[in-house]
Amino acid sequence: MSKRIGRLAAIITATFVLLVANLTYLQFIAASELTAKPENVRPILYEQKFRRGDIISADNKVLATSKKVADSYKRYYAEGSVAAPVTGFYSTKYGRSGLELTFDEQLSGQSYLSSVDAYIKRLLGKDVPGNNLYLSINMDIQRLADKLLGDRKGAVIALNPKTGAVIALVSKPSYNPNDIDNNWSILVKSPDGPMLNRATQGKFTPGSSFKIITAAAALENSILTTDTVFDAPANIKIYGGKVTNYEKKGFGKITFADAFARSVNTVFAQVGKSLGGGKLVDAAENFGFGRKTPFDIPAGISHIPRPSDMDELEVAWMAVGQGRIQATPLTMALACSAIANNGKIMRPYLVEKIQEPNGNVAFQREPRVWLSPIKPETAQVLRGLMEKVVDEGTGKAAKIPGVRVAGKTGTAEVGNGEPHAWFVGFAPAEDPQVLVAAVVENGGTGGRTAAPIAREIMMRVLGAGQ
Amino acid sequence: MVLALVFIGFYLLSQTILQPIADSLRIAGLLTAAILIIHVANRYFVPEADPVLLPLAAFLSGLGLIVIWRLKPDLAVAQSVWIIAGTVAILLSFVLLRRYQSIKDYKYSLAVLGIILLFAPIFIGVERGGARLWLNIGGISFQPAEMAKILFVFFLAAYLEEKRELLAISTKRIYGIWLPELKHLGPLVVMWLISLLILVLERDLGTSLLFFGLFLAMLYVATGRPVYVTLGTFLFIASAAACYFLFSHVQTRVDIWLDPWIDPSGKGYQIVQSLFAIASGGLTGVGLGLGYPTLIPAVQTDFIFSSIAEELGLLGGFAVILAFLLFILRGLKTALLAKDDFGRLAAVGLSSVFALQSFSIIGGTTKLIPLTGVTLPYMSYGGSSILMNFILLALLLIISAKGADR
Repeated sequence: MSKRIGRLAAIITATFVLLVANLTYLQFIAASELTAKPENVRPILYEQKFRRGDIISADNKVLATSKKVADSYKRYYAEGSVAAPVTGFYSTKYGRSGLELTFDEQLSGQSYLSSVDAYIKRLLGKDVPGNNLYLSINMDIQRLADKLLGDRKGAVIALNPKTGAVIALVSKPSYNPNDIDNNWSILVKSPDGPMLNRATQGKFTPGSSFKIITAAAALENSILTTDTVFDAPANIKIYGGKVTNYEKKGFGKITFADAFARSVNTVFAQVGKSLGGGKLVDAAENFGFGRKTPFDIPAGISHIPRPSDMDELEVAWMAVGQGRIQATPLTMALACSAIANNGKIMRPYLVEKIQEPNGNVAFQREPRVWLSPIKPETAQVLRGLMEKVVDEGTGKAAKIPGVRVAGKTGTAEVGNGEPHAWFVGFAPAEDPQVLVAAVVENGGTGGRTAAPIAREIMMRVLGAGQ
Repeated sequence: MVLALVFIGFYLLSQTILQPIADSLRIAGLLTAAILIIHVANRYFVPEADPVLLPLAAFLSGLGLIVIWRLKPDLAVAQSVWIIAGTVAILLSFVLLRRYQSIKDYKYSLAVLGIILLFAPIFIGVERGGARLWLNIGGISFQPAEMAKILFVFFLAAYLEEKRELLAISTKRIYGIWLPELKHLGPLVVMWLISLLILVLERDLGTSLLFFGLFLAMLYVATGRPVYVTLGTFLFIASAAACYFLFSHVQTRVDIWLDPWIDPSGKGYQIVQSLFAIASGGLTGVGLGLGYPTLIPAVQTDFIFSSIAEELGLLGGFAVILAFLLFILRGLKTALLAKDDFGRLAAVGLSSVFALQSFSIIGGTTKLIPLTGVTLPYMSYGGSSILMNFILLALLLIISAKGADR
């Protein structure tokens, strides 16, 4: 009988091994699939149970916090639609966006829980909140930018070109992240696209603001100097088509510097022609076109056609900033920052530091160079050209008394309606503290519509710095 | 070792901060007292008993109590009362059943009592969840099948001890298979009929499987003839298949097992929720009190294992499975060491019933096999289950003590 009892024991052991194997399968191999099933409400319940970290601006305004309602936490946004392009929204029904999306793990406390103590407390059900995000965003500037755009569609980005710290990031129209669950269907269906972050993902024809890149390419490739004289007729014929100046104005013979200041298309068409598509596209890519921008919230890729897909006429128009070229306001701000920062583009960022609930700093931002599209000397020359734009050219509306301002306007012709108004610029020119990119959809000329917005913001930032 | 385990349980319980700490301390105190009393009684009455069985049972009941406390605090109080009742039952067993050999003189009385208990609910029982398994005596509902299990183990042990020689001799040859005389096959047929009746009349797949499996295991060990097991398994599969086609509730259970996703919010809800709970556990679990095991209907009885897998993870689940397996193996070791065939067979039966029950419910909640509604010994909430499994423990302890003092 002993042998048979042994056999019985072996059979029972085998079935119990099966139990363990099956349990392992469920908890490891099948777990993620089971968790993702739509019938599974656990992920939602878990999220609401712990206090999510706060999002706090550089001037100590709490942009997003969690408040306890009954048993679970509800997200609350004190700044509403003004900070929404930065914070994004957090909804257990519709997911999340913005910083709430990209820093979800840190805010929820799933990572950066460095202390064993906090881990054990969580295990025991103690309320250990997530980590707080401290931003480079200044709510004073953010609110001003929001107000300056008003009811118009468009975007404004203000950043420090020396560090890449974004001071303001506005997209209009915006949405109220507090009411996302109630208004979802209206928001996603709205033809105005309030859920689109125009500052980082809106794609616009850059118009003449792109001439910064054309000029940089021409100077780097030594095909001209600022004093090179060009014929500047009202229009020129290229490859069976023609390139015309804004409002069909002729300028006679002018230097390249004057052509830049007055944004003369016919001169830039000639420059584009002599550069050729290859060099122009290379330059644009060095400035960030066609690249994924490393940023703290999702950013779109600015589009530039391949040289082989373009004829001479299109290359000429591209040198002017028109055609199939599409830029996000973030790309234009960063391209301009190379001029302000001696040829180097810093990696842009919103999050200055991440702090754990016990005060321990889990992450501290160190500014890093992202791209180096031009030599410092070229940047120096371009800075002079851009100062001239504000001093005596199309960007006079950005002039600030007692401060040297450098900038470039853009008036991007679009299929129908008024052109998009652009302005990118920085101040003080000799020691840039703030750089602003502003675009107003169908806003008219950049000089009249976008330059004053940038001016107000630069003044406020410089005033606050003094 | 006993004390260490109890204090681990005690510590864990006091850490469960969801409820007033005083209540949890009171329950932990009760449990500690109960285990200590059993331990002292064990040392006094059966000092040579297997030293591992009691700590394992204490660990499982302690963990079960903690989990029930976490799931439904009110029920934990009731459960701890049942544990006290179980302790009294153990003491009585120690006193009354120390000379367990005398039980075999009453084997037919045991069988009759067992059958009465098994089938009583059909006539005077209370229906719960589609199955008539409960008797209501003086306001306390009682599941007589739990008691019938142990009675049958002793009946079979006595019967097989007497008849095993006869059953082991094959005298007839049918289609190349040696079979014993037909009259000796009688009990096999009777057990098969009993299991079938449970299935048909009480709609209880779990208990039916349990009785038949128990019988086959004991028969195999007693006679050493695999033909019984083969024949028995064949009979059971045939009748189970017939039931699948004849009874809609059996069909539903199997269909849900095969694919719970055909109706995840209706018929498949319970098993689907159980799978979600287990999946969320991972290696270490989400932490005691931090999961959502109460989303599973009947989590405190049939699905208590799922809540352990969710909150204590694979490690917790593995520990529980291992504890059950160790308990069973110590039970079988007791059988090996028993000095008489009656004790040996009884220990085999008790271990088998325990193994079948824990395997079928853990397997059911993890969708390894179709779900059968039986309790998880020592852990599930339920008075009759706790009481009978404590008696089972006492019996194994007594048999092991007798085995040791030869």
